[in-house]
Amino acid sequence: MPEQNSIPKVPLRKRIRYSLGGRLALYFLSLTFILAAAGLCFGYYLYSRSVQYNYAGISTRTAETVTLAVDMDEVEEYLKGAEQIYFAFTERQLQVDRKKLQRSFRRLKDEQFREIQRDLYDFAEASDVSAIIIGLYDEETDRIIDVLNSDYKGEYLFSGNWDYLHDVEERRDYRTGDDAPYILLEDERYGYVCAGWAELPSEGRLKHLILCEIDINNVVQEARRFLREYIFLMVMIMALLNIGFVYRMNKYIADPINDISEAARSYINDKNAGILDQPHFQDLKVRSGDEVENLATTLADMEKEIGEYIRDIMTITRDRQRIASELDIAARIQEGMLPTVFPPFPDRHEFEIYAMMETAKEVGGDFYDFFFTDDDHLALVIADVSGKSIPGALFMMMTKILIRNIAPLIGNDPAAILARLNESVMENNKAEMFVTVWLGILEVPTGKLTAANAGHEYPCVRKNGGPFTLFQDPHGLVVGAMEDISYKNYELDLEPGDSLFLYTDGVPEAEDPDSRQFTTDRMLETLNADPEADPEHLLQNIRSEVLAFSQNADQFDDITMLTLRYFGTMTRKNEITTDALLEKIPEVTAFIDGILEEHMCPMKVQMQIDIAVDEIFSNIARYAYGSNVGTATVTVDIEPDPKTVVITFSDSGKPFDPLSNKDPDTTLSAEKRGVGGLGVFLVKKTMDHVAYEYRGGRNILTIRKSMKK
Amino acid sequence: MKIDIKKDGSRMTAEISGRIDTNTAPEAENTILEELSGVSDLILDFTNVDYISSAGLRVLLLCYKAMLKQGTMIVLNVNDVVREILDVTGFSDILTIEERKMNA
Repeated sequence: MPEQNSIPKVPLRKRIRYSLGGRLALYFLSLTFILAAAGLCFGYYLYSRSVQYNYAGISTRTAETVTLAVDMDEVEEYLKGAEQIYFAFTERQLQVDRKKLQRSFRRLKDEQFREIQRDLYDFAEASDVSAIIIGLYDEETDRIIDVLNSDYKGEYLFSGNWDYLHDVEERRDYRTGDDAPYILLEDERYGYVCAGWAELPSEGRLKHLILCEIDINNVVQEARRFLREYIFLMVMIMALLNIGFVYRMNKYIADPINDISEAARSYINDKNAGILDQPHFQDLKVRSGDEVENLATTLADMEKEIGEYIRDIMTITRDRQRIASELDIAARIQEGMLPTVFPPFPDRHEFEIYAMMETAKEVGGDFYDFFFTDDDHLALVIADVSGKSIPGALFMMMTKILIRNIAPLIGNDPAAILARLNESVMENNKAEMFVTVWLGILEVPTGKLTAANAGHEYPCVRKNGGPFTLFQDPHGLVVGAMEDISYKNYELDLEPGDSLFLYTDGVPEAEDPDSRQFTTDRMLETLNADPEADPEHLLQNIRSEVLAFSQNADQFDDITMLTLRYFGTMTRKNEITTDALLEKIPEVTAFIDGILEEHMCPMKVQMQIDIAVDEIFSNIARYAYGSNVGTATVTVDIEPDPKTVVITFSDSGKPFDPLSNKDPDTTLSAEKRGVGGLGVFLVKKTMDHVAYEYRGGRNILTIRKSMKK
Repeated sequence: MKIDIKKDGSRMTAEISGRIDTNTAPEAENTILEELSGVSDLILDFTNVDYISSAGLRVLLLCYKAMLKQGTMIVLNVNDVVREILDVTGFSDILTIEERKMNA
């Protein structure tokens, strides 16, 4: 099942509001508009200029042709006359009354004048121009003065009428390419007019001009119509283009991109919901033949890749989980292999034993073992495999099983067992791993420990109530390194109360967060802080110290420990028979003391027992045999649970029950006190139980005292 | 058992170490009683006495009876075992038993 929790969720971001297509359409529209407008302006400008030049040319040539139509000499005469009249006026007079000049020009208007005007009119008609004016131009004042004109009827052009060139509305001055001056102006009455002029030779200040006006209203109208039609056409074309463009934009860019982003969105949604096999990008149909199609293709490939990658990861995760659960089972199998029930031999009181193993990973490479090879011999094993985790665990299991199988074949000879173990391991050591082993065989009745060490840590021994110390035993080579290796046995005599502590290097080499090691010194310190602790607590103390020291930094090595405390056999009867003499008391006391000390009898109890022995044996010595010398037998038993000392005194003398006498009166004053009978009284008072019987011809007195204070 | 006798004028201190039992009591008896003449203050220092049996009690009683005529007797620094014996036998009622810390 896909683990939805293992695939991180991707949050979707806000969608952009503006559309790409719309924006592109806007740009395109603006662009076409600008283009059209620019085209229009430029075209219009060119068009009107060329028209102007054309008409300017026409009007100017027509003006020049006027000289052929009329008698220029006569014209000259009139112009001169006009000049004189003009000069007679001051500026001020002219400006105050414009019509003044007109009135004064009437003088010029004789028959010939009128004829010339008629000729001008005919000429204008023939040439298809609106008007011809022959006049004066005052450059100083920029004044044009009408003298002769083609309007002989006097309807709209008046001789003597003057105007400023710059005074007329919207008048523009243009110079043609061939230097023919013309005026373009909009007349209130007559509309648009183009007036070309030809200059006549003149003397004096004023220029003599022939102006020829052409009505260009229709031209202007044409231009306007052109503009209107052009604009209309442009708008139509632009509309079509834009629609076409927007359509193409959407089809080939905006829509594919939207499709891609939609595909991405639903990809993310599906992934967040745990649906992993649905194709999204791969379903896209983008065939624009360009970068967008590339993008779609690449995303489809990416989708496939990611899909495979996720599948791989899920497979790996499944495998890992499977391995983890198998390791779990393996760990439990391993656990089951080591003896973990304590006490393991409840009916054996000669020793107490405890062991523990904590693995760094689920399965480890250390182990301990203990087993009886026969009724009297206990084998103890502690070992450390060179590898960890699965390889270490497998090697550990093999080694442990081998030792158990080899031991009964070889017998109680640790060195030989290790040598044989090494042979077996070397037969099949393809992985070239090795294991350190310490193997000891304890002869339980005597406390004699025979051991051999194959490269393992020095054992710790505590003897005679002293501190734990490292016992630097001779080391043989680790098991599994080379063939044909032999080992040497050594012996240790354990006496009751002595302890043995075995461990693997995980204890002294445990590290704190600063990588300092626990060390064997600290280990010994901890042991010796409470050396009398029972085996389980002894190991718990070490464990707590190591945990505290490492401050819960990751344990990197297995921690394995085994400890044994030897008490010696308790069920053996200890017995001494001596002459029943007072001077034998020290010997008997020493004998009993020895046994009591072996069994860790508290000092106070021991002394109380000593006193009892003194009293009882004294009595036997003094009274049992009268004046003869006989023997007395003392036996000492220690019952285990609770620890109780049981001592019997027996003799074959006169039958006498020492308990039958009355207790002395302890309240008497000093003068009246005697010491007779105090002995037995003391015994009764300090011992838990005193019993007498006469059996088999012997007086038997039994005292019982518990070792608890 | 060892006995160390120290005399200071009419005061006598007997430092006893070890056990006062059937076999050692006679020696204790002789050693102490011999020196008793002229002693008005007898101090039996039991600091190092392990235990005492009825034979030892007998010596105590003899010393006590002797000192009744001459002066006083004090038993010093008895341990638990001796204490119990003296209690059980009623001797702690008769004797003067004291605890004194030793000068370093």
